[in-house]
Amino acid sequence: MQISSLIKRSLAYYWPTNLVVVLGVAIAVSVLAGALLIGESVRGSLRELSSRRLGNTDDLISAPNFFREELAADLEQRGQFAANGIGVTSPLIALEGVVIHEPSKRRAGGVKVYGVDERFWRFHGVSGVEAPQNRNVLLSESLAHELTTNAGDSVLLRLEKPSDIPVESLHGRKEDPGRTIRLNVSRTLPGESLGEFSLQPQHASVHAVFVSLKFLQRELEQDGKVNTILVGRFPDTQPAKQREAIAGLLKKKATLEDLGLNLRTLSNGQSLSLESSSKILNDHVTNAAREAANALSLRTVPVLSYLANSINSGDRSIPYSLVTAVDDQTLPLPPPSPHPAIVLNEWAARDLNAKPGDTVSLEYYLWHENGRLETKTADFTLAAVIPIRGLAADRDLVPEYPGITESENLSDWDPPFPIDLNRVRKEDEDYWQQYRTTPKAFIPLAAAQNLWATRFGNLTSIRIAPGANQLTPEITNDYRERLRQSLDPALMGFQAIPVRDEGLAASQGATNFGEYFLYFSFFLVVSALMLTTLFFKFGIEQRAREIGTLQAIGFSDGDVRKLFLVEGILLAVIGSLLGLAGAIAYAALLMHGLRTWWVDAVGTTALTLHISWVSMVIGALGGVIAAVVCIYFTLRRLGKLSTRSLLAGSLAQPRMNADQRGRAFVVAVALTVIGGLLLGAGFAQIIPQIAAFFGGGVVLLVAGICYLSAWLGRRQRKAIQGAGWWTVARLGFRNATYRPARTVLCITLIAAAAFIIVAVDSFRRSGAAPTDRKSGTGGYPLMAESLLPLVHDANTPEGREALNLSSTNDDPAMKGLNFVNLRVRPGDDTSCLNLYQPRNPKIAAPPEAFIRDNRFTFQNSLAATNEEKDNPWLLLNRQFEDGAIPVIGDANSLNYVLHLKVGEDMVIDHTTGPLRLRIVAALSDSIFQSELLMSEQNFLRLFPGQEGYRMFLLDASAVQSPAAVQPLLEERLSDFGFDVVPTDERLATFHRVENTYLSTFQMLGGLGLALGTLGMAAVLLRNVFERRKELALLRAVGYNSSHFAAMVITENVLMLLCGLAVGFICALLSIAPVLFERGGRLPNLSLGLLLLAVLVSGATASLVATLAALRSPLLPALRAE
Amino acid sequence: MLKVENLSKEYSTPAGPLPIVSDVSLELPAGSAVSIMGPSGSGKSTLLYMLGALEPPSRGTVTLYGQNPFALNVKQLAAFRNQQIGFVFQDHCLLPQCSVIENVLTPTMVSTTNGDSSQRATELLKQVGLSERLDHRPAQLSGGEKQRVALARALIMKPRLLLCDEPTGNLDQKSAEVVADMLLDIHRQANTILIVVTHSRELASRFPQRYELKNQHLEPV
Repeated sequence: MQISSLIKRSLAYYWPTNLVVVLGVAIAVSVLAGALLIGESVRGSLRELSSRRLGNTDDLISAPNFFREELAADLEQRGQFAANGIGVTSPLIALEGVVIHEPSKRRAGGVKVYGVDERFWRFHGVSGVEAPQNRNVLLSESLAHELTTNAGDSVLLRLEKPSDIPVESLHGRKEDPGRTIRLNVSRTLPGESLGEFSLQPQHASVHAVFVSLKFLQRELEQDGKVNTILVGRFPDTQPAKQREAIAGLLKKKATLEDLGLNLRTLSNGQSLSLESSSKILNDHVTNAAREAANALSLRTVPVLSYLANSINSGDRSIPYSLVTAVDDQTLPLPPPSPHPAIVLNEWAARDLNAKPGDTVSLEYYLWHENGRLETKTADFTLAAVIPIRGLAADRDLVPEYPGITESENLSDWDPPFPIDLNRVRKEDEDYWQQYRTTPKAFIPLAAAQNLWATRFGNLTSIRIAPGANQLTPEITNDYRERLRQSLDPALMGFQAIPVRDEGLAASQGATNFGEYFLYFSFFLVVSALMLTTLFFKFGIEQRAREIGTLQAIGFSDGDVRKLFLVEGILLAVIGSLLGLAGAIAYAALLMHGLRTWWVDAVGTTALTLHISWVSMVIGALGGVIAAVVCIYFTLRRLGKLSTRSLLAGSLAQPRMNADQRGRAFVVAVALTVIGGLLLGAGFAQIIPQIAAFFGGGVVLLVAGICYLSAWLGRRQRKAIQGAGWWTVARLGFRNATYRPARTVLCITLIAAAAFIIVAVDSFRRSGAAPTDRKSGTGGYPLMAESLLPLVHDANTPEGREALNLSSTNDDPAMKGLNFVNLRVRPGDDTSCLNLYQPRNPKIAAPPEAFIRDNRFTFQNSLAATNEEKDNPWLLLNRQFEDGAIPVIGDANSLNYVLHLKVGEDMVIDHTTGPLRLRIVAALSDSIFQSELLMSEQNFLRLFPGQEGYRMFLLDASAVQSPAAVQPLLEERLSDFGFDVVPTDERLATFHRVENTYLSTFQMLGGLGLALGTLGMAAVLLRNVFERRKELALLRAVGYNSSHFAAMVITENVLMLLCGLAVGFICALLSIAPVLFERGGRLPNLSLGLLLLAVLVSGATASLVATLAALRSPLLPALRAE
Repeated sequence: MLKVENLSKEYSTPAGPLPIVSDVSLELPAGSAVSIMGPSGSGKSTLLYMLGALEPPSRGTVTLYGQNPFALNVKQLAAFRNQQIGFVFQDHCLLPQCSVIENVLTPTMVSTTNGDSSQRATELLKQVGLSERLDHRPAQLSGGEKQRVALARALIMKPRLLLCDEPTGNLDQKSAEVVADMLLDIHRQANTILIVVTHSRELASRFPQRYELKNQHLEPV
């Protein structure tokens, strides 16, 4: 016979005990592997979701301005240049909008609007979908469901109207930056037909509307233009080189028109003028224009023209005149004395009756970036009066301003700023008729740039002229090509984004659900392993004589251990195999939980189970290793026991002696003192409260266990005397001291579980006071976001007028309402509401006044100076030598989503290259969990194209009822897609996610606790079996089943109550600061019920088990005695 | 030759050392058969376990054919017991999960010198009258039969020293006689040193050498 045969025989013979061991391992493996499967499932679901919604899109080319749709075809290489990575392309318009269902007035914001034609579905290889025509639109299923639309219904689509001219410049149209289009619902588009097409990964359902490309182009006045190109790669394209390849191809194929530039030959035929559709040339274009001109030995003249509301001299004034600035080489002017020089044309000098040396002032509008239009004045000294000829007669010095330059009469002007046409005189109309946009005055370029430069640029055009030669078509073409080559499409706003790669990367998830569920299931695993260990140990105890016999006949300790270890490993392996099936079931159950009970934690029902064998194997190995380690430590004891005691059938360890009891008591007292000191120090705020109280609670928990240990190990006990149930119950108490180590183990497990479950409840977030300046709301009761940017300041009467809010001035709800306007660069949500890993975070920029206001509370920061410590917001203005940009984030988002610490950097893509954002401070549980915050100054410098304000904090502390403000503002600003949310509600949205995680943890912890009570029941059962002879004796002397039941329940309840009480009381001490904050309110009712359920189920389980054990005849045991 | 010199055993208790066996000396050549008697708690089993190298003495030495088992390391000691000593306990200590023949073969599992152990096991079981019960489980045997299996198991490795602790203690008189007959018969054939600890005067009287453990000392009867 081989040892293997002995092992087989033992496994089969002791199957009841082994079965429980196997089940214990199976549960542990199920939970471990199941938790890993959850992580894999969430990642897999996100991956699938992102991939499915992208269709055949691999890369995306987009630009802030519209460009020729033919660029898509120009880029398409059809296999000719496979190395470039572009296989097929599809042009489209991609915008965001608000859709209103006309019949019901239901409204959906954040809708993805796609202007597409048949090329879109061809690109994605989707057949059977007819591209929308004219006003007919296709709606995604989720949008149709949200709006409850039917085919034929009318919907209104509100979009941001594309504007070449920056809205935040003087000539930008501000009064209505949107466009409303009436459309008819043709049908809903299911997901498989790309109804949920999305270029950004998002786990929530996609609200999308598909409009006819041609129709949308017409409505947006962008005929033949798009803002997006979808790119499908060749299968063998290397992803790493893709972005560079597309950038190279774009540079090769993009025309000046695509880049928003216009190079025209002036009417004199002698020079070219480079202008931008935005009417302002930025530094990159200026430099490229000069570089290209220098390369071809051409001369450049920078030009900056501006509209003066008045040119004044003495008591005379000329209204609405164009003023141009050129460089000194073009128009030499004397240095300032005391004012900068100005040159007037003859007409203006005559009209003003001005002569050289007179002071001439210019009155002009200036649009401030804080949303105010200001009238300013600048004084000049008249240096010369020049005739209207040559440069002074050049009408092309002024770019085409819609509403101005094309007007037949001055009185027809319709500029995007207020003008007083009553001021226009006949002479002015005559000048306009004769000279149109010919400037009336010239000033030095430096002076003009000092007055009128904006973040968008500081020139309105550049003149390019050959030095001495004539301008020829060849020179024009050479310059055009050279300029095109000098321009970088990326710096002009073109972005090539590998959306599929980024989607895949982002689908790794912000939260590792596998890891979370491992934590959540911790007690379940521990309980399962405890059960495994307990039963394995029982199995060994059951076989004590066998071990003794084996030792007597020559098995060494090692041989015996090996024998049992192999048995244990086999049981663990069998359990793990069983656990794999359990893992799938457990993961399926939890995924179901995530889609239903805990949907608040994930915000989607689109998560499905993904089985990964790697996760399963890792989980199984983890379970086996954990079980084998437990078994190994159990077996270690064997070597310490004598063969003789084993042969006598005993594995009992000697009871605690007096010294050990004394030591346990001393340790308990010492720990009580330490715990008390920690609590005291926390109460006196000598050390941080949370650390002090939590530390104190844990120390007292250990002290409590030590007290119990010493108490259970006591030898001198008062004799149990008397009669009745109390006496029987006392016998039950005494039974708990039969195996004090077992009892202490059970109590420890229950106490630790109760402690953690109750203590975790302190992390449960509750609402913040909406008017407390230092709370997570900053004291702003409301906040708002708008789809379209607001460029006006709603705090000023002019701003309210412009925003259609002036009629609300008398509304009591609006009195005392103050807007804090924040700029926003759209990006990935950095909060726990986003399951995808944010790679390009949303950035918001509060104004300087907000920074000085010093609201909110910070968890930690890089503050070094006293000023910074007093107000960590000031860190946003810090300048780092390495060029990093300071940003502030919410501590929760930084910790759990971005996985960044204060002082660490996040690198994001920027048109100028990688942009390093440095976390300088972390806000404590604030409303800013979805974004990072940057100073407005840095924001405007880095993201000049992001115009206006899209986020608003509403300081309504003086308002009677902030709730009344919400509908009023939403109604008045509905054209902007204005959405007002109470800040406590926004905070509650984040809290709901965290609280759901906590509930998950508590529920799974409760399950673990329940399993632990099963283990405890097993301990009781074992105790009963071991004491069958005693029980038989008791029966012989007249005890009945009720007496036994009373004894068992007493013993069990003692353990449960001790465990729960020690854990619960110490946990309450740990979370005392939170309890005080809550006004002494104890953790929620469900938690109490959970603990009560544990108590009841534990008592019942052990009672049932024990009574079943007692049902077997006891008297034979007595006879054996 | 089993040589025991000044063998003593005491246990430490809160009240001080408690002597169990004191200064036991003994020399037994091969083929010796000895019974040791004594009242309950006199230390008979302790002495037997010390002789069998299951329990170390507090003082004194035990040598079996010149080899002191307590000088061996744990592994060597286990091998020593396996090769040199056979045990029969009052409570047979059969493995319930194994059949009769498997129980007999159990010591061979950790032995390096197995030979044809199955055949020997079969022969031994035939000798103890259980040739028809090879595949039976211990639960299917009577007390006497179980003890005979235990005897066969004790002899499977051809030990030089056979130690029996109350081998008939749990048996009825008839079974006890059968087991005792077999024990002595097999001992004669195997030429081992046989030491039996027993309460039974009847069993003890069948041994040529008889001792009694009195006041911790071993005295010839």
